Amino acid sequence: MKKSKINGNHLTKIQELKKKKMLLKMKKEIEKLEFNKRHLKISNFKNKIIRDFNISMCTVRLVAPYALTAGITFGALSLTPLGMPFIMDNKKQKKETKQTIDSFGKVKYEEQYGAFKDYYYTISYFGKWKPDKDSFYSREVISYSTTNVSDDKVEKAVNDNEINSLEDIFGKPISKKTEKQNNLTNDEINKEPYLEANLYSKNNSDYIYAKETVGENVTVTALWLIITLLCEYFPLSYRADHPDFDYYERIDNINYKYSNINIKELEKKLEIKKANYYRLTR
Amino acid sequence: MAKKNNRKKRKIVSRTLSKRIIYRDDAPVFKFIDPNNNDKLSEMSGLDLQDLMILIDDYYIKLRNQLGFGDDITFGFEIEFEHAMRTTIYDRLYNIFPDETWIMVGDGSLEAGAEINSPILKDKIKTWEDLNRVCSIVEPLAYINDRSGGHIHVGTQTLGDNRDSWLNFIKIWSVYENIIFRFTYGNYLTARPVMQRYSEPMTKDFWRFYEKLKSTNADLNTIINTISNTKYQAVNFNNVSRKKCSSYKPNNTIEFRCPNGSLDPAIWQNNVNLFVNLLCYSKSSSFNDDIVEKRHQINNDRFSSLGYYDEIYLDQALELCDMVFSNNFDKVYFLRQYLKSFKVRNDNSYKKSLKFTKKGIKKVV
Repeated sequence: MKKSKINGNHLTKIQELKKKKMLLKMKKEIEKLEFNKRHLKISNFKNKIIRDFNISMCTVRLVAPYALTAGITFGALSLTPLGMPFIMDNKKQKKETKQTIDSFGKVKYEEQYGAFKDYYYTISYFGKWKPDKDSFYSREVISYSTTNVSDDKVEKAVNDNEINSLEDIFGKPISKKTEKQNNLTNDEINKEPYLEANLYSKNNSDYIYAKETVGENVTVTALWLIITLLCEYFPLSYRADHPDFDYYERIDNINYKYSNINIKELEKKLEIKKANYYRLTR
Repeated sequence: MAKKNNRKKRKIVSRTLSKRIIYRDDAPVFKFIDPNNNDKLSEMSGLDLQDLMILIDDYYIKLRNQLGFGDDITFGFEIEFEHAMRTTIYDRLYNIFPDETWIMVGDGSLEAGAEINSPILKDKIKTWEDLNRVCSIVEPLAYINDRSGGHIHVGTQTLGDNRDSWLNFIKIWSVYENIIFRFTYGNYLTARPVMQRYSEPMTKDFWRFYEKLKSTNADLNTIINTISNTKYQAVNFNNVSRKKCSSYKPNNTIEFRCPNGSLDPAIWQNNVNLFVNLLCYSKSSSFNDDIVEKRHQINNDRFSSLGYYDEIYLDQALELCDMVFSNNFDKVYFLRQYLKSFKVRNDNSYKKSLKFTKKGIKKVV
């Protein structure tokens, strides 16, 4: 075998160092495999911890942009009067008053904290009771919307019983119905046509705090979901344009690198590594 | 008076060469071992082998302008690539080869890819220059990806009509398939993901066929029919002419499907060098049955999965290259591509090795 010499050796100093490094690396690989063989359970447990940790980190990295978006929309919505999704907030309930007045001067008040569920800004014309079949009486009830009319005008119309100017003040009627009733008193039968109206008011300085209802919370939550889904378009689009993170490939690699050690495979690998090392050191 | 011929005649022991090649290379590895000698690397001492490994690791292989094959040896390439600018590649290819000798065709198994098929080639300077040009055209315009293979066809006449040559070939392939595969991974550390599907390892099947065919004293036709199981195996014999193996028909080839895709002409050349030398060795009278049998016993069914082929089997690799190659230059080229700086893959990805080739063409005399 011909051996030329470079600087007194056939290897330079750097090459000698490289050789030592190569042998050391081979030796360390063998020692690691032998350790894993002797402490198989510990090695597998350690692998499991590292594997699960790495998979978790990968999952966090995958989910992070979307979670962040959801967090931002959650926070933004929480700052609005609508409150937080999922959580039944304490909502400010202002005192509301419903006032019913008629042309005879009768006034009825209903007060509650919170909005009236069903309220209608209406003024209704009640006609005179007329005899009908089978000892029943019937009368006309015509309703008009008062939404675009001030409370003062409504009150004046009711107080002045302005039956003939209703369409001029309130526009076309919104409903016309006929009421039928029996067992009326004489006072009721003889009552002249009259007007009745509903007025609403809110007291901003008189309020309480009460938990929102399930329905309200579900609505806020649904709104949050829709907004979040729309906003998720941005991180999704960014990921599509910058596909440098393949989650499933990374998981595969982690599972491969930190898979549970199979004793037979380990022994085969050890045999191969030892054979190479001994061949170089014999 | 005639001048004395003072030149030293270097004896080149060769089974494949009919061309005299004299290798000259100033690299340190070839000061350690003479490139034109045929040293038994498998019998080297450990210390010498350590030095050799380091010197090989510092050597970068280049495309050679010749390999030393005789004119009777023919081969061809199927260069696959993906995510390619196909129209541009086609146009540039056509500019250089207007006679369409090197032609681009579609391949449905590739993702937005194609393959370039070479004409029937011989070991000429022009062949390697053309290969270099083709790779240079494709490289900036395409990628080698998970599905890209690097199939090589070698004319069946290289193995010939002798049934023993065929049995030798499947025997040596079966026993050294793990070495051949890692070598033909090229600049990757592992098999491409679709390997099992399109280029199935044959170690067990070939041994089974070998034992059966040897014991039944089968004739050549039976041998070829038996080993031509499917096209999608590491070595495909479906193109072999049943009438006369040694005939120079265009499609009478043995197709090596195991190499990973590459756009490096040095790797293509190195692959074809191994395959041709394997075939020629199988045909030669110096085929060492004892070594191969002994190695089969040592292997002892250890390759239960393709993953084991990723490992380095140093002794076995040295043994193979001593048998198959007849000069140290070829052996160094083989070992450089096989060892890949002693790197073995440690995750599940289709990872590249450290670079071991250099651009340019090396002139051999």
